[in-house]
Amino acid sequence: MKLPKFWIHLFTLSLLLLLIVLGGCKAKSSAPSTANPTTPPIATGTAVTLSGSLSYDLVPTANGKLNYAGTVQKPMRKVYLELLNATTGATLASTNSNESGYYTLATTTGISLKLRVYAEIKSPPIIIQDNTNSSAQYALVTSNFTLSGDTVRDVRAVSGWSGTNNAGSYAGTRVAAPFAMLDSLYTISKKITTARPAIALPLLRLNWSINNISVDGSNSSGQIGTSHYSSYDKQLYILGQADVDSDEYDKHIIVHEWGHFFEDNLSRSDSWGGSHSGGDAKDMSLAFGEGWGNALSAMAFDPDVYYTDTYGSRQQSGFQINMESGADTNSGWFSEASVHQILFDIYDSSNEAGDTLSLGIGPIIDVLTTYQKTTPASTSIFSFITGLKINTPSSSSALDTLVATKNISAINNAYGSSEVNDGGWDKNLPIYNLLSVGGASVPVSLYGAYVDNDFYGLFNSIFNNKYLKFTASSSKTRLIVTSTDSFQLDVYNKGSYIFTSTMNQRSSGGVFGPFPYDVTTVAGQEYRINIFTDRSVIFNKAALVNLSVSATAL
Amino acid sequence: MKQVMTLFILIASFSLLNIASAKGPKYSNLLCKQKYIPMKIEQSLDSHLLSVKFTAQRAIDQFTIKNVRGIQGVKVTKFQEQNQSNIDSGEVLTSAVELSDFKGLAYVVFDVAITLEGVVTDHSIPVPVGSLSAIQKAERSKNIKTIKVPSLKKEGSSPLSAPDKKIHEMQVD
Repeated sequence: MKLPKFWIHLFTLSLLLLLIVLGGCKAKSSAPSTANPTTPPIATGTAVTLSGSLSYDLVPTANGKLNYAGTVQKPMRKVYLELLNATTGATLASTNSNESGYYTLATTTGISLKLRVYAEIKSPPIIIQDNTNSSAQYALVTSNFTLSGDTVRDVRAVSGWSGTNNAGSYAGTRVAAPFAMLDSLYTISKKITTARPAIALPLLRLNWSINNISVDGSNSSGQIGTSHYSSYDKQLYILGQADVDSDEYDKHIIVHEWGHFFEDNLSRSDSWGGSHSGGDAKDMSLAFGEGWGNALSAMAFDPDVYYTDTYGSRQQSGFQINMESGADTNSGWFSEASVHQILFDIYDSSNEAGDTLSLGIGPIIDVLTTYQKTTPASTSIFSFITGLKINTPSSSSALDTLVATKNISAINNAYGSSEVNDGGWDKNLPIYNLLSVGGASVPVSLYGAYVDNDFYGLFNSIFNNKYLKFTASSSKTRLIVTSTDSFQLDVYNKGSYIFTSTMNQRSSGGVFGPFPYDVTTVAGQEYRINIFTDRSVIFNKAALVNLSVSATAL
Repeated sequence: MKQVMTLFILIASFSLLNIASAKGPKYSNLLCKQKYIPMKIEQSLDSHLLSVKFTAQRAIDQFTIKNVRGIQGVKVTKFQEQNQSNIDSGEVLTSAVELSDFKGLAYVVFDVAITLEGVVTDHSIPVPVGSLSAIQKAERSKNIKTIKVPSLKKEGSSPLSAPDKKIHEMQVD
């Protein structure tokens, strides 16, 4: 039955009036055509739809600073949200936003409602939580509202910043921060799983607080040292203290730390960790891990290749590193800058002198999750390139050319046996001293330098760690060490630690050693030995330690 | 009563020593240190006078204290500017800062510029004073909600109790 035109016009007018009264909510023209045209019903219990868009404020970086004036709204992609009964707190419905930040929920009219949007993505599982408040999960909640029909309700998480870049401050709650970090993590997770759908990312918890400050102390107090990945609990900790150092909008840092999460959970890292910066000659595993994190951040936000860290008063200090062509003052297998430029050149589609590769991220992930994970050598640019050559033999020549631009010899195996760049000390070569079981002893020299950070590093430089390798010929191998001072010897098989001598501390003069260590081995398998020392326990106070190592089959 | 509290904040090396002690079968806790400050920093607080020692851990071309400010409740009433060139490894620089109005945990932030091998980098170095008070703890946790999670019950078995869920709620309009 058709309604007379008069009633239709009257109904439309009533609906428009209702829209004005509701304010704040944008209602769709969805009232049923059979409703009483003079008094639109606000029935309780009628099924309706609540939908809308979720967004967060993204504060971009510009010239190494946060640019609040350039703040833009970005969609909250794939976040989990709940519709709550505002009176009882009961969850009435839940869903996940889509790739554009839109959500749709089914509910009924006449109930006091509110939305709770979690800083959480269900797939891949990511949760942003507050390490200074019992790991409470961040969520935004809306004010209460009641629906009378299908309704569009948009939700925006604001940055909380008020004022200009140079004279403003965080006057409001920093609601956007957890969602900004969540979105950065989603960006890289999606990039990886799109390239390699079979990869299942484990649950990641990112800890952030406005109290997270660059002081070493307890995580629960917010004194987290710096933004970092902790292999202890497999979680990320990100700085948040405004006017000192806050990293929630430093998206490359978020992804860099995620790179460590990826290495630790799906690949392998033999990194010692510790302080590092461009130009350092670091242990090859640390150089690879940090270079991987740097390069990954540029891959995630390609073509934004500027790794940016903002800090200081009003977040108006900072620095940028160009992952494609930044400075690399001490290039080589020990340089994180060399590693990140090599990895990015392997990935990117723009080529330059020495770079003819454009493999994308898939082949890089393939190596990290297979060869790099099981290599008997320490994880490094040597093991990575070796794995990549195995997987993509047609790229071998181009890889040789590429690494040569960084003063790295053509890589033919995971041990870097053809390397000629000694990083400034001839004792740094060979990278792996070959130990022949039943053969002659091998001399090794290193510097112990835990306390002072000078030319020879803290503990994670190429001067502090020496490597040997041997192939076992029996079920037990005796390693014999003599030394001029205190030392520790660790043995690994395919990346797994199998033996430690603990720190053998010299406490008196005279001959130190020989010390025999019996290690359970499997005939035919390769083993890696790492030797290092600690300046604080060196007896003769000299930083240089000379050792001699031999192996016999038992 | 004169109360003297000495804290050591080894901005770069303290945590690294912790890492170092975990060497061997346990890999480092911190996998990444993004920013390197080549100074060991020690502080002592005598009533309202904060004394800070900056010990160079390598040769530094230039070290400048550009500003000193307080955050989280502390006020800096007086500080000494520093501008030192050609600092040798192991050389110690000191700075005295007068503070007022601090209760509980607060931070004094040194805005410095360090020149290494001709490259100037700015740093904001926070130095803690005091410890977290009950009022501060209450303020930090005021938006924390605890939600009871329903027990999981499988047919034919007793319910599995789930831990309460804590949520840091942030209100939006």
